Amino acid sequence: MGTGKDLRISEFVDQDDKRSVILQASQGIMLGPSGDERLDEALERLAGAGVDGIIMSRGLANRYSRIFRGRNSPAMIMSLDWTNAFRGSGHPLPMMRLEHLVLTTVEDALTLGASGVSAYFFVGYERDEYEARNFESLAAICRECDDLEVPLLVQAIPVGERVTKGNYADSLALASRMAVEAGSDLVAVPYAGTAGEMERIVAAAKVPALLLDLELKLAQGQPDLGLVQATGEALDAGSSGIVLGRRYLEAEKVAEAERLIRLVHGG
Amino acid sequence: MGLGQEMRLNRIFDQRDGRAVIVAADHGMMLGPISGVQELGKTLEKVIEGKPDAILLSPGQAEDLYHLFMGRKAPSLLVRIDWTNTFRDRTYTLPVRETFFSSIATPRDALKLGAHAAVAYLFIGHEDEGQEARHLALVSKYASECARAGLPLIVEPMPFGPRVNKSNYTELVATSVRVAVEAGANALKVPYTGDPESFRDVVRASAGIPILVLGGYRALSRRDLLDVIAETLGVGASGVVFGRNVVQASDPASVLRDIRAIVHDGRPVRDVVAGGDLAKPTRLRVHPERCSGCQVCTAVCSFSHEGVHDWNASRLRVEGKWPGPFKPVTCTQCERCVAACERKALSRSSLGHVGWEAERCNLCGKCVDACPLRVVAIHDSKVKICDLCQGVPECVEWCSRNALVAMA
Repeated sequence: MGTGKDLRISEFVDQDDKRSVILQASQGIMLGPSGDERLDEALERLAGAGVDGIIMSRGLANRYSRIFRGRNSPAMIMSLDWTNAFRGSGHPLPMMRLEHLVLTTVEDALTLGASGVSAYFFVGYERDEYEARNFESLAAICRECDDLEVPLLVQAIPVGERVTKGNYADSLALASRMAVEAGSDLVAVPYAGTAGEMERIVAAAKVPALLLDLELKLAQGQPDLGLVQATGEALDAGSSGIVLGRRYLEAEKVAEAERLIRLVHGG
Repeated sequence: MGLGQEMRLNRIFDQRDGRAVIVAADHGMMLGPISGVQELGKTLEKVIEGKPDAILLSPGQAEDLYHLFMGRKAPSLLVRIDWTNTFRDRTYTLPVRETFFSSIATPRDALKLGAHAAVAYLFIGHEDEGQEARHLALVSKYASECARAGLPLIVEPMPFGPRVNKSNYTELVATSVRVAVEAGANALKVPYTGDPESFRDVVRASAGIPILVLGGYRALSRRDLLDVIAETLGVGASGVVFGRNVVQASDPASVLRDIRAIVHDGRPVRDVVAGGDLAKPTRLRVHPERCSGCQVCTAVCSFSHEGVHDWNASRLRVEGKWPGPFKPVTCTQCERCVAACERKALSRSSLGHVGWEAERCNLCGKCVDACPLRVVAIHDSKVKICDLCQGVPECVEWCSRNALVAMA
């Protein structure tokens, strides 16, 4: 890893405790607006509450660049890709077949002032060809990130009916390790089910691993657990923080977000 | 947004109010020479008299007709850089079997043509979800190239396809708006959801990116068209993009003048209709089968003319008892009252309806006797006669069932 990546990662991973709380604010490009969001207010409050980085889509990054101004502000992490995976039964267009596609180049993200980029990697596709394509596009992003020295956060997620309770943790370990071997600089993984499994996955990742807050059940085997408890367990297991889902953009969730930030960074 | 994008966007949206009136004239590329665009140059000359802020053309027409856009007072030029067969419904040659969209030019091409913005569609609701992903990828690529070229990107997000239905339509408009915004649109062309409340949600989904309302729907009348504009501006829209409602109008400049009066001058629709070039109604047509007997017409008639709710002061009446049938009885402007008046207190006014002059009238009642429908009356020492409310009949405005219609 060269100077550029090191410097840019330091913009969203706290240099004292090497941990990070990242907010996912880019899901509108996949889902549309959420019911009662007040996007600008929420972003400002969470930035003030001390999130280290915010994942944005290109259009929102443009629109809310002021959130990222100054050295005390969170870093901007640009989301590069799109998927319909998060369109659950409540969405007007619920997912029928999982699709994933890259929309933005790393160079564009860099031009727009991003400190890092974020992409999805899924395992468990119904057709293996789709996993191959997803991995191929991920690898291409990794090479572009290496070239431009932009850190990459990969959200590695098991999805679909091939993922069961029995193979969930293994699928997660596979997804996370594949992302790392492709060249990602940080991974975010959903809760693995037990503290032991979490520890195994974090250790196998070799790069900083964050707990990913998934609002939707994307695979039958995906374990349920309150985010606060899961965060505690994940931190004990050696993880480097959390990625908060977009539910934390809702006004009544700000207090919980603040609690999670304290849990990760202490104090 | 970079400087180039900002400067060009500011040539489209009026600096004083941040709003825009845009005319779409790119239909030929998708539908062939439909009415209004056969001789596009001639149509556009008429359109430009109405001072639109910008006109949307295909690249080929932009190359051909660029002379219409010369000078600082000319409208700005918008160029469509994609194509689709989506709109070829059964009424067109070669109706669509399978929906496609294609890129036909790059933002750089549009910039070279002198465009002030590039325009592209974004459909959501494809049966094949991969199509949606590919369409979004194309729009994202446009956003990236537009940012580099300093050219604003106007995206036209639109729910389309078999998964779209009445119950999810509004939500999908909001969804597609948000998708387009996050993909990097600098302004949006958006279909109207039909009522201001749901459109408010659509505007909120845009995170402050300006929304232009599409005139793709078939407006019942110009009044209807202007009402929709006023409604959407009221909930935060920044203007309109009208195509066929303007280019197929017999007098495009007159339509545009009325639209500008609403969008840029903020005038109430009623005043615009009353003072505009629109032919004034000369009589009312009654559809008794639509009448619910609610009596709102009689109440509003007396209130608007006399300031009171008094059925005796109303210029029309509704016959029939609950539960119907009912029949509104209105003045037909037959002018028998005018003929019967010996003192010429009644006459046809310049606005085309019967008017009454108090000074000449001796309240003799001959007009009342002459009225075959007995809608002319003397009440409170005045002759009550339908004046079609000086051009915007209130009974028509308030009738929720269109049982009363103003006829030119």
